[in-house]
Amino acid sequence: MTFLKIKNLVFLLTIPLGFGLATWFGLNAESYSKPSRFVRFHYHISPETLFFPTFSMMENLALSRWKPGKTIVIIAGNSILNGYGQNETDLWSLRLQDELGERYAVVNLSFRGALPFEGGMLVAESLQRRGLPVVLVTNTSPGTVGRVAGETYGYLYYDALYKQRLYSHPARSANILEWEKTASKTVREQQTELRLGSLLDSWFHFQGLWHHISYRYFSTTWNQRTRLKFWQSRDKYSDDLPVAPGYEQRFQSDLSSELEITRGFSINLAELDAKAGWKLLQPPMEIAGDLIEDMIPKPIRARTIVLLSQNAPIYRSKLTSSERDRDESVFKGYAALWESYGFTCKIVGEDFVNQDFYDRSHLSATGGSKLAHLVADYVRHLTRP
Amino acid sequence: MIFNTYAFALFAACFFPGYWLIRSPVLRSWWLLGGCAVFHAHFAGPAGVLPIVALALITYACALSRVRSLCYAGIATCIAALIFYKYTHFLSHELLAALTPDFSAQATTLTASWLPGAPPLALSFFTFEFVHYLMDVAGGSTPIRNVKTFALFSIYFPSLVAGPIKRYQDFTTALPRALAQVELTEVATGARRIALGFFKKILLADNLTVALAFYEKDFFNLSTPEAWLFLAALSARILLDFSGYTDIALGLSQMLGLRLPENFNYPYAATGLRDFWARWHISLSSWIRDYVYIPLGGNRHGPLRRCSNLIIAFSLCGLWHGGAGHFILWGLWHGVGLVVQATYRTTLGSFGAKIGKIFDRFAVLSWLLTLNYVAFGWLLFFYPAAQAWTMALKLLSFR
Repeated sequence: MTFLKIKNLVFLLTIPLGFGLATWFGLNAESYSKPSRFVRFHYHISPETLFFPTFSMMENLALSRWKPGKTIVIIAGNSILNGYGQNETDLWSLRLQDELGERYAVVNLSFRGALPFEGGMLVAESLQRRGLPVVLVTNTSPGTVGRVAGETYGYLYYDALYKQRLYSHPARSANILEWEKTASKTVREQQTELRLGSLLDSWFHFQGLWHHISYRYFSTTWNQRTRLKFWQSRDKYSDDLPVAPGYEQRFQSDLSSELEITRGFSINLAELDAKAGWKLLQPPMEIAGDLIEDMIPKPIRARTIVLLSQNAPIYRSKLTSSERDRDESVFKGYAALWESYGFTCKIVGEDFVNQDFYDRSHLSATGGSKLAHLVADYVRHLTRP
Repeated sequence: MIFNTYAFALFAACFFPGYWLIRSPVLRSWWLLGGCAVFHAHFAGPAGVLPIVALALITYACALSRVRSLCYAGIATCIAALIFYKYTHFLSHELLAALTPDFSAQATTLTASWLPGAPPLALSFFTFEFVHYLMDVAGGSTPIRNVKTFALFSIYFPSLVAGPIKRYQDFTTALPRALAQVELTEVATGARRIALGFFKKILLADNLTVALAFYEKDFFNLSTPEAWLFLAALSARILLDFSGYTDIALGLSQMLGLRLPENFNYPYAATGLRDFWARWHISLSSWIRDYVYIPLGGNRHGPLRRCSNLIIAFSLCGLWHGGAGHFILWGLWHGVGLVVQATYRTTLGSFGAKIGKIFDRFAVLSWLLTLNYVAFGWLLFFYPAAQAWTMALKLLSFR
């Protein structure tokens, strides 16, 4: 055998060896890797900068705060619960931890733009399945349920599913497959690729390794926030989400478009009945009900608090009295819908003042404190022996 | 890109060990054909496979007959299929719209009901290879008799999606050797080439793609140095993307024991446009030379005819890249550049000769001019003509 042949043989043998080692490192990383000094998912550790936290990272975050005797309070939901508008030191979920005390471990796993049951809910489901005491807090607007797969954070569902972390819930898989059939060819291909990638990752753990490296050592993906420093590890970046400015500088965005969105919360969900009262439209309620039934396994429902977040009074006050009535009917009607499926559902923000808001929907530090106080009551109520 | 999908990774993990483990050339050829068929069927889908199978059968039969007129009919069929799938929308939507807007609207509606959402996968590459094959057979070359060999030539998966465009004589000569034995050295070299390709494609080109998408929205607010940096990134991106993909294709093929033709040879080191086209997408430029430029008369009928042949050949080269006006303009840009390069020394008299001497003496000037000419051409390649024009003005205004 010539030297060249030996050299090539060694090179080729190092490929499976390296692959095996990488798989082993990945498996290890999955067991401990998580963002340090974690308060919430900010720009630099979220898909907004092409960093896709893995399911195991999120689960590690929750587990790292848990000790026997404690109840884990997982916060899922969107930018309102992510605390967009609050400084990381004034974050509402930190206030919630203060309110709840040592017997609870609060971990904020919400993402901006997430649907109520993307991401964090899957972690709660996984931990509950393992027998840990869990409470899930999430939020949405009336009529919005969504699927656990198919949107930005849908990759977490497949990640958790193929790593055997979720309850067996055939209705959920069937619903997603049914939706895929009606989706465009591009979406179908993306979903197939996502599933296949998650399946392979459950064998080879490459996402765990790569995200650990990206977080701790160096990153390889350019994005508009990190730009020329894109190669820096993500732990070098601090939380720079916007913080509510002084009250005079808030609510500067276009009034008509904000009012349009405020009206949009209920405009397609109710109609006037014969007595000039507001009656909830059945088709959207049925769609929401079906999605709730299909997406969320029964065991987690009794431990879930769904918050229906109201808009800032500055905008609600500009609605006509009829529109306000419609809003009220819709919020109450959808809260009742969630309750009928076994959830605790609360409308929040109704009695908040303008100073409690950063903009139309996001809360300032004072609003965050009020929210924390309310949610602490709901959590205590739910976990009462 | 297909090579960086999980589906392809799974395919490769199943296919390659089988190929290497099978020792019998016959069985190995069946395994290869099966792999190519699975690859094509998975990534093209039934709607993408059927037209290609039909074209392949026609091409095979026409060539086997060795009747020249049948070969030309086969060529016409392939080109007609290419026009139908790839250029109908362009013809009805852009060309007809300029002539008769009403008829264009009707034609667009009508064609929308006939045409699939996207043309069959890699139709352009299939067409080019089939046309080359039929042209050569019509010119007297021996056709491929073995159906399996022809099928392998047609759907050989490493080069299926984005080339290089193969020549059947080289392929059929190399195939039996590859099927008989795969050298360890070739597998190792192929693996290194694949790694290089992924590095170029994923780490460099894909990051540049995201960065360019971000900065192009704000291009007109960039400072002049930033705008030039954008142009440099645009030029680097297309080279890294395409050559990275080609490296992977070549590496995969080499791991099967079969060397495909090189497609790139440091194109941005070229010191003239002719030199550039001898280094950039070599399999396409040599195809254009052999099957468009030379049949049109090449440089055999005087300078005027040579110039018009160059312009026609490169306009077609531009059109091949996509059914849109700016692709034709990009082809014209290169065609005109080549004409100028070929003629300025004589047409400009003593002044042209002096310039020529300067370029000969200072190769760096030729290189800079070529590089910039090519880079400005990429604006036409990527953007509609009006936008490319304003971007070029911004770059040249030094404001």
